[in-house]
Amino acid sequence: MKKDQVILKVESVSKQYRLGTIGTGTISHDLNRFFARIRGKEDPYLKIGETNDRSKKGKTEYVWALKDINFEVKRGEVFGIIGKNGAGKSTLLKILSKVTGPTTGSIKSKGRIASLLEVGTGFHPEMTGKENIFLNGAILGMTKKEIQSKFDEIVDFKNNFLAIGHFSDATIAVRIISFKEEEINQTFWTNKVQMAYDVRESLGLTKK
Amino acid sequence: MQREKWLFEISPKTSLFDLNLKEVWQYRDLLLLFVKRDVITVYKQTILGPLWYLIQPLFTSVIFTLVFNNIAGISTGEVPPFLFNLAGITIWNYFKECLIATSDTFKKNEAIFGKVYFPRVIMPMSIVFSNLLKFLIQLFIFICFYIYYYLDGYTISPNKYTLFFPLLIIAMGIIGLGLGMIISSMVTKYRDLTFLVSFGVQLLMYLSAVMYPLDLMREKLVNIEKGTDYSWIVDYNPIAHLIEFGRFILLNDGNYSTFGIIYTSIFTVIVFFLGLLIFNKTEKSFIDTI
Repeated sequence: MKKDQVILKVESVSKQYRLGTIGTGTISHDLNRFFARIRGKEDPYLKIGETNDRSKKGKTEYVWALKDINFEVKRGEVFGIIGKNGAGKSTLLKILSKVTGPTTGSIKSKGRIASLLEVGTGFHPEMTGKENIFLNGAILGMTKKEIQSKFDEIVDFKNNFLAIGHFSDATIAVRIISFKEEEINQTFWTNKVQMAYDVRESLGLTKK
Repeated sequence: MQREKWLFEISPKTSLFDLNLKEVWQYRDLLLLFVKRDVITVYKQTILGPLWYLIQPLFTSVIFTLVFNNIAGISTGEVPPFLFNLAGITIWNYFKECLIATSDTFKKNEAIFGKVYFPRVIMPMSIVFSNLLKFLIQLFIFICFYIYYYLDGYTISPNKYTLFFPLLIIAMGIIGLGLGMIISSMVTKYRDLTFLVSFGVQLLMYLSAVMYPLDLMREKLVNIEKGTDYSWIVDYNPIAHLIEFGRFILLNDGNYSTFGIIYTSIFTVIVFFLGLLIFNKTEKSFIDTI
């Protein structure tokens, strides 16, 4: 496997959000949009050029959280994103993890992407730990067979390294173990964008 | 340079018909695990547990029999009124549960949908499957009463159409799923719909021939003296047709129309695909609007 192979490519990704509460006016906005689209015109609420530096209130109700983001990540590379509050870090991660879609642009990836955004998601307090591990693994896209084969590893990991709390440790364990070396680009994203790859490596989970 | 192969691509513009059913199939284990979760956890910390599955239809049947058959005097022909109502309620319940549970998919799972990606349609599908189990338990109690009344000398019997019963239930589940997916997609933007669903379903039950024969209802809806004809309410209500047909094949009582069956089949297919399309479109961006 080539070392300098590009495994994640983000091309001119933009994301537009609507400000304010959703409720009054949305039906008419939706209809306006719809008519604009069938007449082949541009979306009347997408106004590129509006600046969003968070220093003053925008004129329109719509705001670009991300505008024209381009970058590439190579295999084995550690990639960090830093920025002020509201710069769009989390939005970018949300798009990368397919939680929400971009307004424009595209993302190409050669590996599975797992988000470590907040732990505990998908765990049900009334089920046993084993049932929870299976459910969580499946949410991350593993098949039952894959989870079965990694079950001991997950439990070991949990017991040895993350003996804190109840849910959070098991969640992290499932997420870190759940990806095969070949298919993962070691791109784990946390809320503040630290690479879990380092964790894997220091725990001896990556084969050298 | 050779063309690069990517495992997946994220882009804003996907075709409306890009349903990605292959992906749903890849996540089939998740579907099963969600069903398992629903079944395991729903009656934890209750004393009677799964018995609630039985209490609800039985009590409803008793009340319906008292109100509609004893007080209002609706005749159910050869069939004992209690069994007649129980049959209607058992079938209706499956539809109702599917519809209500799927109609708040996006809202209820906001937390998990906001963090992890998996094909969202897995969620409503798992609901339809876990409700199937509940339905089977209720069907079992129906069969118990069926046998009791049969031994008691009532002229009830299955007929050759009884073989279609599984199909009928599938149709019921699919209509519930389809409508539920449409509603849950719209609820993400217009919350008002949640109120409509909760009492709309209640009203729909009264229009769906659950506790009276379809023919009787149709008859009463036509008023020759006044020249009014409301029979379209039942004629174009697929649920009414399904319940009437269900009772026909279970009790060999009542009537079914070929029109009703064809109409219902077409309705089922359309609602299901429409639901899938709308749901699929919504899942891409709902997290921004909810």
